[in-house]
Amino acid sequence: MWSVRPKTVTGRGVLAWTVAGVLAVGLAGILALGTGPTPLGWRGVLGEVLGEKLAGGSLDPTERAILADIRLPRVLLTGVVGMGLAVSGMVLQSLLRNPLAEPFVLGISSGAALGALSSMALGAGFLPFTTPLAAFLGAMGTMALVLGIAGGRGRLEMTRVLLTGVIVNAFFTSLIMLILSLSRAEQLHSMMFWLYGDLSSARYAHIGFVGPGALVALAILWSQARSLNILGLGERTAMQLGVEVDKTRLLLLVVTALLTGLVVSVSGLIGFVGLIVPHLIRMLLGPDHRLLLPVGALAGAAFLILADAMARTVISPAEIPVGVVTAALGAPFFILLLRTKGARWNPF
Amino acid sequence: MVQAHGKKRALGLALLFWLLGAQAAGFGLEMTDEAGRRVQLTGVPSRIVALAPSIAECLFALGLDQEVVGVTEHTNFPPQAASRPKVGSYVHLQLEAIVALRPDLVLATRDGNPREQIRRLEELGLKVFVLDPRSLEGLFRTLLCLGELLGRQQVAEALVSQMRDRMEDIRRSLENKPRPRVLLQVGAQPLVVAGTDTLQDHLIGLAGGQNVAGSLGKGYPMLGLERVMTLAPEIIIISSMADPRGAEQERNRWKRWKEIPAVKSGRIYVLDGDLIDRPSPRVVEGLEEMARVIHPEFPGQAAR
Repeated sequence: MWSVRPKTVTGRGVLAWTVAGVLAVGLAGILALGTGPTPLGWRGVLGEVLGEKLAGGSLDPTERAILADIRLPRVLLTGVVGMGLAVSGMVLQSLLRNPLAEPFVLGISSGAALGALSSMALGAGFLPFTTPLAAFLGAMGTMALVLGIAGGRGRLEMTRVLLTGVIVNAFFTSLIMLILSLSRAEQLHSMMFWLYGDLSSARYAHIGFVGPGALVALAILWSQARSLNILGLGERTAMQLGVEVDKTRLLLLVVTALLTGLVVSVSGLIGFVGLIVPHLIRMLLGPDHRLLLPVGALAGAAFLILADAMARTVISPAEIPVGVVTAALGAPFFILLLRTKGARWNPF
Repeated sequence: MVQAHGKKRALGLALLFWLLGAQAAGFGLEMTDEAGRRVQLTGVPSRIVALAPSIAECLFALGLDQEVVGVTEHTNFPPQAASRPKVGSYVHLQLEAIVALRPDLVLATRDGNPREQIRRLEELGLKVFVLDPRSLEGLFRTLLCLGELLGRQQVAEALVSQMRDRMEDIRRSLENKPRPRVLLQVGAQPLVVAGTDTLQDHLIGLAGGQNVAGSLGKGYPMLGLERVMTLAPEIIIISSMADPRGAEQERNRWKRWKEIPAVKSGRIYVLDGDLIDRPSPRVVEGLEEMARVIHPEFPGQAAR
């Protein structure tokens, strides 16, 4: 049923799927821009872009401010975050050859959380941008720690990396619990929101902070798609085919960590996107990363944009953490796909 | 058709601005808010969003029921305030809902509202005035400040002097009485109590009690049961948060610890949290109720 799996990936195939992905992101974006506590409608949103006559709707100045200053930065940032999480998850699943791998498996998330929550506990709300910065530094510190411990003087063994990540994660989680238990009631709420993923404070400056780095990271990862394919054939085969295994692995690990750290610093811990979107796309399109990475990125963006639009509207005007929606939406859909695919599904 | 409508609206707006301008002429336009920031107003605000239930209560008490166009979740008093459009909960605001109400003034609280979101509101071009009442005296200042800001000086002065009279009555009649040791519980599991520099701490003092958690530091410290035993409160007051049944359960849970003086003598009381946790004009009622539970001989009917 789902066997649209092409045997060989052609440039034209990549292009076609990418165009489809861009369209999906565009549609999700227009839908998300139109929904919220103040319904603007897709006609109104399109009216701002295409002109009132063509779209058959327009906005008043307040609605325009809501669209331009609140929703647009949020939807754009959400898109970047979705891309980053989906691609990080995809690369890590392949690299670690583990279907349970996701962007947070190497402890980067807990490092970021530790940074963010410490800054909140110390009352960093006085200055703008301290929380994202602290989160990013936490993520980078954790990456250095994990790679340092796992690498040691010898080779970078993937099982060691994975185990170190899990242990560091556990240790940092205990520190996070400590901060939570010592924090004042007034601070707890924003901390919990951060831990479940919170895009409500999105602003253009965040996109400026995250966007360029994320795009460069995505480009680097895509450029390594062929090596990633070959690494999947096994270490020995990869070496015979001329891939510098250790170097490539280190590069991929560092770049995914950087990407995860960047997006997490402005979004908090949004679970499930980085686990489920890669699997979905793999089920649909097969194992070739030259196709998987761009399409996965776009699918991640579209999925998260839709999930965030729901998070904003389900119990409007209140808001639920977007992580709640990604899990609630993602899990049933994933189970459905798994059942349709049956026992044949085995990504690695 | 659309054009005619637009013209009418433009005329209406012009008239409105003229009226506002006329009013603004005799109006102090720049004020320092309680977070120490200068806030400039171009006229008397007529569309106000209150970012905490206590602020909404203050505004309604000042007779500004027409001006309040938005409130936060859990705003329940007075009843007509509860039906105003909601803009999220005070710890997590819906910026978009606030902007959509086109307020000309947003009233925030310093400790409750997330600073990041307040900053964001200002970047979106809204006027935000921050309030920070932490005691009854602080609340009086806040009310007078609001009166000046919103052109309701006389109402505010009358309200404050009336509140002050009721407060002084209580303070004077309990001044020379012995001060029982009071623990005020605001949260259960973990046990959270009112420490110093809180509204509740001030209320305990005014109501003729002594806050045993006073030595534990500012704000709302968490407390272990052992510590409660050593603090040996003679009276435990439970602030009923949203759920009165929960508070009743809490009361029963204490009954196992007979070593605590308050438990042994059965002096565990539940008071309406809305009256003792919120810096709003109704806090005087909360103070009176608290005085009655701490000093049962105080005139008026004792609570449970």
